[in-house]
Amino acid sequence: MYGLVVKDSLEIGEVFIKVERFESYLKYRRSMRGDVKEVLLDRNAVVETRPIYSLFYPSYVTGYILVSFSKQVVISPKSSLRIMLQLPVDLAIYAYSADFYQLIDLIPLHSSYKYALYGPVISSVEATGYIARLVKEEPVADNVAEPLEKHCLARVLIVNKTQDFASVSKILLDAKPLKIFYIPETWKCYTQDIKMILNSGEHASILYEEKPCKECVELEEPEEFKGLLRTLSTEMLWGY
Amino acid sequence: MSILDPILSFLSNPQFLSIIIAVIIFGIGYFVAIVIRRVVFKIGVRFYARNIASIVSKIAYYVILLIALSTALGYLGIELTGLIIAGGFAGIIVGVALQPLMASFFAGLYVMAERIIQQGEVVAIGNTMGEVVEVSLMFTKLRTFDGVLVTMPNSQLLSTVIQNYSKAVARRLEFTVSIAYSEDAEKAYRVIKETVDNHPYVLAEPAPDIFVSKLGDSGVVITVRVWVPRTLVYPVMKDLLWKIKKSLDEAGISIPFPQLDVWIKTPVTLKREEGSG
Repeated sequence: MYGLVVKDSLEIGEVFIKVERFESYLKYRRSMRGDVKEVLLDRNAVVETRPIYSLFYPSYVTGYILVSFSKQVVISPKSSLRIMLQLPVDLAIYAYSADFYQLIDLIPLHSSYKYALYGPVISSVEATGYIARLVKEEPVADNVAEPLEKHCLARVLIVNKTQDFASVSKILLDAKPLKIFYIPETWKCYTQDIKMILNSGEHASILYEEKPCKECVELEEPEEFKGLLRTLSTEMLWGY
Repeated sequence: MSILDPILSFLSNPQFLSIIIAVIIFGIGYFVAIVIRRVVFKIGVRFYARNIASIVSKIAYYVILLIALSTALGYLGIELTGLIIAGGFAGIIVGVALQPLMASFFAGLYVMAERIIQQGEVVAIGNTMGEVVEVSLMFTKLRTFDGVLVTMPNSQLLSTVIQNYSKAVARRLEFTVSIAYSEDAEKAYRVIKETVDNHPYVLAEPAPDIFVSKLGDSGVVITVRVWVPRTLVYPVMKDLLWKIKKSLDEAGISIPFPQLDVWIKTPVTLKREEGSG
């Protein structure tokens, strides 16, 4: 669960977390498939779980997420359609006290972590565009869809501004401007609402819009994204 | 006679007025030079690297200052033609003497303007490969992967081949694996594909390319081409071939060593010696 203060122990699948308090310090211990991590913290530290973009395991490579649809979404000219996507997230373990706030551990919640190139390969050898974390998802048009465990629900409004029918098979998201929200002590996680505007047969603009729900808590952005210049939209220049 | 008369007389002296006007001309020139330097820097820094914008703005500053100085001196009646001719000759002599330095200087300007290589990029210049530490007007510094700092004159950059490994977002890696003729090639293909697909840093798109590239002397040669994010080329290079080797071993697929079958035309009789093992 997200936003859960780990006071004693926590078990998530194959992961076992134990927090032990001693007289002058606190010991965080996590074991996962034989891999053990231990961190010593000051006595007053609080250990808490948070969702985190699935971009930091095995290591941080890119801030882009390319969601590849398992089935195409076809939009008629000058119309729009709202779809729901489940974006995978991992579990971040944060420790904080009065004077510090730090990511101390990252627990991968998924079995496969792959990346893909969004962009053309010129002359078969020159790769251009963006490297993105590849996520294969089935889009659903159900407005009342709930976020699945280990996923964040993203509501995407696709607006077709062109004069032709448009088939959408992927969407490129930039995690830097895309905010994550969660409901504490649940597995419910949401991204802010997304608008995808199809400008032409090849070009789409992704805009990041409203907060998804009133009771949601906004996730503090990871260190990697702090202080970066960020755009408020993502341009898909090489097709959608 | 008033006490002010000598002062007025001095001030009305045409020579003094000429000096004042020459100083004003130089002052205006100096002011214009400062303004031009700032404007050129501000515009230049939008399109080019900061150091090149700074150099160009300084050149503009000194040129305007020189024009202002010559105009002011000309107003005072100081003949500059001889000075300019002498300066021209001196320039030619200095230019010839400093030709290698000037070549590096202009090569540096060109490299910076064209952004052929930039700080932090991984490049190979001639036979030297490493990370660019600094590109200055005269020299380029590379840190090779074994930690040696190599400083080369910029003129060398224009006369050699530069390979820049940091311009593309992803790079293609190629491995070759050989399997024995007696092995099941399709099984080997499946094992290699699974290993490649399970590697997190091998890009799913563009898809890996695995194919039989040669029927070699000792075995079937399989070529594996994968795309990898630019920053992860070295870790994947180290890791992937090792993982393929382990996977083939685990699947019981043998990698052949060079072998030679010798056919002897005349029948040979082998005799076992007594007492030998």
